[in-house]
Amino acid sequence: MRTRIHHLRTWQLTLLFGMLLGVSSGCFSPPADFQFNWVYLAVQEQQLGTPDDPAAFSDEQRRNVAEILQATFGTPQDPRLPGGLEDANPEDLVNLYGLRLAAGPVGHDKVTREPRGLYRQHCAHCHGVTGDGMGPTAGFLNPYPRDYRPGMYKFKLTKSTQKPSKADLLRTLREGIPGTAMPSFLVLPEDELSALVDYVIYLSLRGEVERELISLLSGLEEGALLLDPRQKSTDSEGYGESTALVKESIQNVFMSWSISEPAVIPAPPAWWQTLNNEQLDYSSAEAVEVHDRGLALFRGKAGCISCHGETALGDGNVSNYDKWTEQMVDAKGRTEEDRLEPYRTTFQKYGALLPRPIRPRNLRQGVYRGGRRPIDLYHRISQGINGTPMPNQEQTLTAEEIWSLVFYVRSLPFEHASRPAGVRNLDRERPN
Amino acid sequence: MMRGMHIERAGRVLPALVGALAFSLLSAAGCARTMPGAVEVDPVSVTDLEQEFVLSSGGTATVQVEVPEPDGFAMLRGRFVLTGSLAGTLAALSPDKDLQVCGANVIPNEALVIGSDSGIQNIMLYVEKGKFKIPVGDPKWEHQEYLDQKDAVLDGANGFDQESCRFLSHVFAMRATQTLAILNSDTVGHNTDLQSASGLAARSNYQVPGSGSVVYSPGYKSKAPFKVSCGAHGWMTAYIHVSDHPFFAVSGEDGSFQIKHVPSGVPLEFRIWHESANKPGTVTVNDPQAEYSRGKLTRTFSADEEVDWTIEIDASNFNHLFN
Repeated sequence: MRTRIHHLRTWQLTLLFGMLLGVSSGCFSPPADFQFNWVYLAVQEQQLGTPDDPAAFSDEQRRNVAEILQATFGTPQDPRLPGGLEDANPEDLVNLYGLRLAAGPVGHDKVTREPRGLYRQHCAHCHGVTGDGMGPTAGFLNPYPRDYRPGMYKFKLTKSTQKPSKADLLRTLREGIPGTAMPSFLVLPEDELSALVDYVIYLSLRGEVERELISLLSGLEEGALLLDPRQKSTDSEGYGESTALVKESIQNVFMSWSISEPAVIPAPPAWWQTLNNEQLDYSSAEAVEVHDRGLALFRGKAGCISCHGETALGDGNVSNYDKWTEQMVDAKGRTEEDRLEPYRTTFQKYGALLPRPIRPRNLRQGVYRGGRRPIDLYHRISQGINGTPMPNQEQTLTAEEIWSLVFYVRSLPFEHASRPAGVRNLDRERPN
Repeated sequence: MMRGMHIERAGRVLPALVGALAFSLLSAAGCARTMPGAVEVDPVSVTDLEQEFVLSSGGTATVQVEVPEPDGFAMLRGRFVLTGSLAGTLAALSPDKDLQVCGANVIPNEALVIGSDSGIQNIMLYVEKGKFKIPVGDPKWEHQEYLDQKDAVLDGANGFDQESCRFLSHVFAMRATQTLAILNSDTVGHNTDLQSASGLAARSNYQVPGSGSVVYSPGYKSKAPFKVSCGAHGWMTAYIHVSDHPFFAVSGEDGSFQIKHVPSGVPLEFRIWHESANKPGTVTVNDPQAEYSRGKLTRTFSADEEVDWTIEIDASNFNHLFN
């Protein structure tokens, strides 16, 4: 009897010991805090120094950047917006009420019963508390969740590389992004959706300001602080100059959002209406004519085949990286391992996800991430896709030509992939 | 008895196994991947700094920096010269696509170009915003010659051309108010990507068809020269700088440069920029009035002065190119 109790104790002790070890090794969730952009800091250090001997910013300089960020944008629990800017009013861009609904831990306000923590409830597990696209599930997804911090967005109806409008981000939330892990949030009430849009823009602004502040460090004397409150009493003129410099950078970020404007999308030509009238019939003489026009552009002037491939299977150029990851790779490397060398030596230790080459869309699947409406496809061709190699063709293709391409691209999923039109005569038809 | 012993021994092993399993599960499962630590902040400093950024005009008054007034114009010219010897030479680039066009001429690696008399080509010298913002379009600051060109369309020989899959201007500068024609003298299409990443100058990624052209209107200045690449031909690179004011120059084949009318009587901060030596370290200037520190030359000119700088940059700044 005594031995049995003794055995039980051994068992319990082992379990207890195991639990203690498990807990102490960091398996509890860390407090919600904004992560520092270590990757961008390392990029700046390399640019300032040489690749072999990167310059190093001091701990004090990093802390200074983090302090300015907290003073201007607050914390994940208590977000705020920077004021005191000359030519920009942040409240015009981001709704403070929306921020309150989206920020903080998930729950409700005790008095008003308004929701709280919408971002952490719906977004943070993929996009991360910081909006760095490095939430706990991010590593399991392909494509990775968007990193909001560079302020670049792909799917929008504003001009080429400009910022998206709120309506663009709202559309992405409502529709989701087909072919990715981004779901539709159509079931959420309107005010919650727009609160999330405000919060995503807030995270972008904060991320962009962080990048600006880090790049300002490169212009300083070695070890100097961007904004040192102690300087206020000793050298108020110098402090004023530093404040002006920091404010100008912050202001530029806000202005880049307010100068964005919708791109012009001309109405489709007359044939578009006839051809899309009822059931689309690709065998009619007119349809064949438009299709062939689109095909010729696809192969020729518009240059689509150089990335999307001869057969539009998205296999033309598969070794490009997008703008979010290209700073972590060596584009000149011959093999993928060569290209990934900077990531392995420098950026991996900062928790950055393994960069993957960006795949041109396989146009035969009929899955379009930015939306399948003709107007979406028109915009992708005319303005390009921000942050990717997909170029802006607004000046080089006429509206009629772009609509023909849209018609052709929309016909591709219905064509035999094994016998794509005209591919057998490629050598003769290919432009030099 | 024997049987009892056996059970007892099993009873001893099994719980230990369960314990070990629980231990390994708890210690290994569910841990997040390692991330670098957060940067600790000092709450007192944060509160201090918050005073500067109070919303809705409640903030402390910003210190108005007074903009000085120039008393005329001076002429600045000079040369960038390499001193010491380079640790090697750069091999030409090897195009691997559209060889009929791209293989027509040798494509040099322009990460460092040394011309005649050890002149360093493709260095950009530009005035950076120092203690005050330089007024734009003000005749006190800008000579009439610059005012006339303020809204010019840079086309033809002044445009930004690509030929035999190489950017003809490897380093290029323009004003934010000007418009730039991006030309393509090749028969293949180029995918010209202007990667303005910082500042407000427009980013653009153009498909420029063979023998075609597009126009680029930056609208705002860039903070520093930005990279231009071609999505179709990975070896093609160039740099463009977009400036508010006209005080910039790019060194030519022999390393020479000229800024014809710099405002005098005001302190100016010149930035020396080279793609392979951002803020070169070992630099000497033959001008006691010019102060050099971390890529920046500071000087105040007097009216109608003619200044000729010889800026010597040591070869050690480029060592990293030859590993």
